[in-house]
Amino acid sequence: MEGTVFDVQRFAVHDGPGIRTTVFLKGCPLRCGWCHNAESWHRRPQLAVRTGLCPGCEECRDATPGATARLPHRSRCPALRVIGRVTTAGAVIEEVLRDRDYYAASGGGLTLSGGEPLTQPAFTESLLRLAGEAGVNTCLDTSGFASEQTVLRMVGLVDLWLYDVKATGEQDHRSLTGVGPGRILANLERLLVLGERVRLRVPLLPGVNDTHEHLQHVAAIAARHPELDGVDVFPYHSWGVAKAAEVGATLPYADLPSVTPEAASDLVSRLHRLGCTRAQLG
Amino acid sequence: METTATAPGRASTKAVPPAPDMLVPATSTLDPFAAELRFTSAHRAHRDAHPALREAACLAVQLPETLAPIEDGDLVAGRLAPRLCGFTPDEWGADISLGYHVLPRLVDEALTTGAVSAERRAEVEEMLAYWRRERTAALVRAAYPPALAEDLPSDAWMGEPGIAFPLYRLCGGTVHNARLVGLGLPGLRDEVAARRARGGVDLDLLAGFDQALDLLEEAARRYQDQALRLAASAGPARRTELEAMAETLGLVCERAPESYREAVQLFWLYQLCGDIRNYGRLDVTLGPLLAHDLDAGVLSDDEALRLTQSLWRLMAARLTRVHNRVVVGGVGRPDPAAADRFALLAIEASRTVLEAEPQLSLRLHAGQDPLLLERGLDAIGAGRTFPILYNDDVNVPAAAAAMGVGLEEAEQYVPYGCGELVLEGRSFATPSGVINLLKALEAALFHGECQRTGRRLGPDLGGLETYRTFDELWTAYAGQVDHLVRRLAEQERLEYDVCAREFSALYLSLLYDGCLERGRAFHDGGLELLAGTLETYGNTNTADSLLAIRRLVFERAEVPAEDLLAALRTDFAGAEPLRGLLLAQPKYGNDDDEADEMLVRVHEHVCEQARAQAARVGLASYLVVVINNSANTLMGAHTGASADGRHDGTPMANGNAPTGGADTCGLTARMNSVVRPSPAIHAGAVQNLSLSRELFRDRRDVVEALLSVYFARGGSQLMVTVTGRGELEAALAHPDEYRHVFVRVGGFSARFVDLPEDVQREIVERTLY
Repeated sequence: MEGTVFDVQRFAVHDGPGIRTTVFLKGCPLRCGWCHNAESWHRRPQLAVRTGLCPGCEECRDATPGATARLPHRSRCPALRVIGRVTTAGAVIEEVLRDRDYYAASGGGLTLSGGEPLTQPAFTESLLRLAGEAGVNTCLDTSGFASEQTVLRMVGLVDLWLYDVKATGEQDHRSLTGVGPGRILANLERLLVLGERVRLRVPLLPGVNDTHEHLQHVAAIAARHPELDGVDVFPYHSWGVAKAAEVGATLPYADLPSVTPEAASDLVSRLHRLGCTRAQLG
Repeated sequence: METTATAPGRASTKAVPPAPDMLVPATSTLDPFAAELRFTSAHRAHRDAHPALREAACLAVQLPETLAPIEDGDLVAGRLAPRLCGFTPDEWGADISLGYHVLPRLVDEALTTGAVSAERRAEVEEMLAYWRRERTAALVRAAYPPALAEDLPSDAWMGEPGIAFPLYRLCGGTVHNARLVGLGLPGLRDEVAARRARGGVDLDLLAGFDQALDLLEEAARRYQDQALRLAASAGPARRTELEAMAETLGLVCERAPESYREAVQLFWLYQLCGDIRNYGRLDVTLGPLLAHDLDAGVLSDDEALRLTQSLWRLMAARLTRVHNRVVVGGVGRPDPAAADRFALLAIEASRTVLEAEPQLSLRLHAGQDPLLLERGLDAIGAGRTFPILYNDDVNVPAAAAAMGVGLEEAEQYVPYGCGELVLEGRSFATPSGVINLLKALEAALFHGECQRTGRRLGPDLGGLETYRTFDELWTAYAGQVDHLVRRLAEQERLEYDVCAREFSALYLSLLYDGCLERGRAFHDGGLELLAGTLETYGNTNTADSLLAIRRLVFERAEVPAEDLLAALRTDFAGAEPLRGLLLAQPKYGNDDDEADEMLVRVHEHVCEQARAQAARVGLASYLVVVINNSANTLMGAHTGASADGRHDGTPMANGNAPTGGADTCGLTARMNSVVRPSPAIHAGAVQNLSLSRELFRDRRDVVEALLSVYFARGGSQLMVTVTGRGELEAALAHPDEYRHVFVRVGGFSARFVDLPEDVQREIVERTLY
């Protein structure tokens, strides 16, 4: 089973419990204006151009950031890099298993992230299945934007869903992420009804999506579902801006500064005041 | 008069100022060269005496001068003053020093800065001329047979390009201090007398032992007098402290220690008199009396801590930078419960005394009281870099295999200095040579010549453009390494032999197993396990370079040899794309089999080559140590651009760690790589790990899991720096505000802002997790 992966991060300690390996899958149907992995949007391998690194060899002069065609097999110009590689689930799991001792000692495991892993359902399912067979704990970091059928395919294979709640209200959600919230919320409810273990992930951008309505909505979901594993708040950071430019993607919130630690605590406090006492910094 | 107490060959590029508390004794202040001239006269007068008696005569002059006064706050007596010449069985000063030595640079400094009469100046010049001939290091160099002199032409390992250099020192002496504390001065005297009574022994050596013990007692008496004098004019609290000190000093002259205070005092004075800089298993030495005193109510927990903190400050005042090892924990301790109580006290002292020394080292093993590691991690998490962690489950069998001893004997392994392993009181293995493997590869690529200067480094075994296969390159590289490893082993043996003719290292020999019984000095047939070690540098860069060459030049024929050579010669000027390609090749530290296997190949080759020399040169073992200090930076400065993409003159990777920034696959990948090289064929390798303060604070569970798996997978040792990159960058910009930041440089801990700027930058660039 083949899929497209654009990064594998070992010793990931912020994508679920314990020490984990996070595998980033390429492709995402959302276009969140604050995305920190915009190089993941396109499903296929892409050319990233970091012109500042060019030593003057001219190889990158005509290169198009984000191009998916005529990718250099092996570029000598340090300014050119191909983002994403097609690989097999078996090869990915082989690398993941190299750290199985660390997972066992820390309660960690594999996290699939992206992009949106559910855009590669067969590959995602295969990775989850292989991990499960090897006794490795699995997390799926998802926007939840997928067909019900796709989501149901993963039920029973995911030990913990890391489930994004990005905005509230049809209009806001659509303008901020490019898609409506209906299917996402329905899938979330479905998973919880089925008894899946879910943790909410709430990216917050001051002045963009930290509206009272949205925070109230998050708090309401948490109140309705005491079985939720937790609510993690992710304050905005601007680290993804440069990467986006390298693949020719533009982010509407590129100029937004990273949230200060004080402001981050404040966002959590607001959720606490709305009764969502389980909210914490992710 | 001013000197530094950094170890030779370990000096930072800037001089380390002496601590304000390293006061010169009154006589020297009045006449800055009086002590040195007297010492020189003693040495000259005993030229033809037995080495033991000559040493004792020299120490009789030296010790009263160099044992510096008790200072305010000291609860234990014993400090060392700087000196410009003298005797050490270990190593001393910032310049090369071995045995009888002089520090010419500092003498010059004192001559130019002080008001010195013409007559005195002439005497000093004459003294310098004498020591140029007579210092032990010069005698070792003079004894080189022609072949050795030809292959090791230079001693300037920090200042010249070269593959291999000798080091002149006997360092790492770690004696049986438990025996010292068990017997006390009277007991040791009785043992010498008993040996004399049995006959058939070198009586001069025994007389030397007696004199050494007398000198120690005299030193204790002098400190006793001083403590009483100070007490007379001190306030009530300080008076009580000084009176207790005086009483203790009297007692240690009369009996074997019966209290923790006596044990600490005797231990400390012995180390200073003997210039012993590594203290071994101090929990075994001091634990039983500590436990006794605490249980009997003779000593409160607070008093015990204050005494230990005072001892720690006295150790720090020695400014050894790379020594001052205190080892606690581990298997093979006769009274583990008592030893653990000292271990916990030691960890607390290291957590609370904000100094870069002593180098507290905690041995861990399955079944040990988990509190030791827990408290150890608290200290590390506080940014102290101590304790350094050692894994007995790996190290005991590894030391047994490497040193060729039984498991029970190997249980007594102790790290000294930068991380070399010896057996406490049973083996001695000074590192007397350095080899820069990356420079050897340079010689293999460029017909035996330095690519920067054209200077000859080794034989012309070919050049990259002449090798048809990678194996031919490997053979040439191995050829450059092998013949120098052989020479360095010969040098090490020769150094011991010359030293044995010059001095008996009385304080060491008296507390090393077998020496008194055999009636021989430790390096003169007294010690069964007289061994040697060889410091290797550039291991990682060499492996990564070899792999890049194998892949690009030989396997894929993608880069012509000439192109690569030209790029290396010009430090990649106009060849950035080629450099990018070199950098993109697999690198050690990423859990990549191909890269890790090359590192293992480089490691095994030099380790086995060294091991094979022991029998040939007559040492119990001759083993590689993959330690580090700032040698990777200093030797890197004389090493040309390399095929791993490293720029000309820049630091090489630290110890056997991955190249900074090249370990891109995450910490676990790095940990998996660094356990690959076998620890059973060398005598110590060090691993630095920088963790962020946030990780340590917020995810202690993750840190503990990480360490437990690393050790379970074969990790032998780990030094953890906990800091923030932001903090280090700020310290670079505002050194005065960041004197509290300590980092692990490899073989030692240092106040970050005291390091040379290039080393500081290198540390900032190391991957921080």
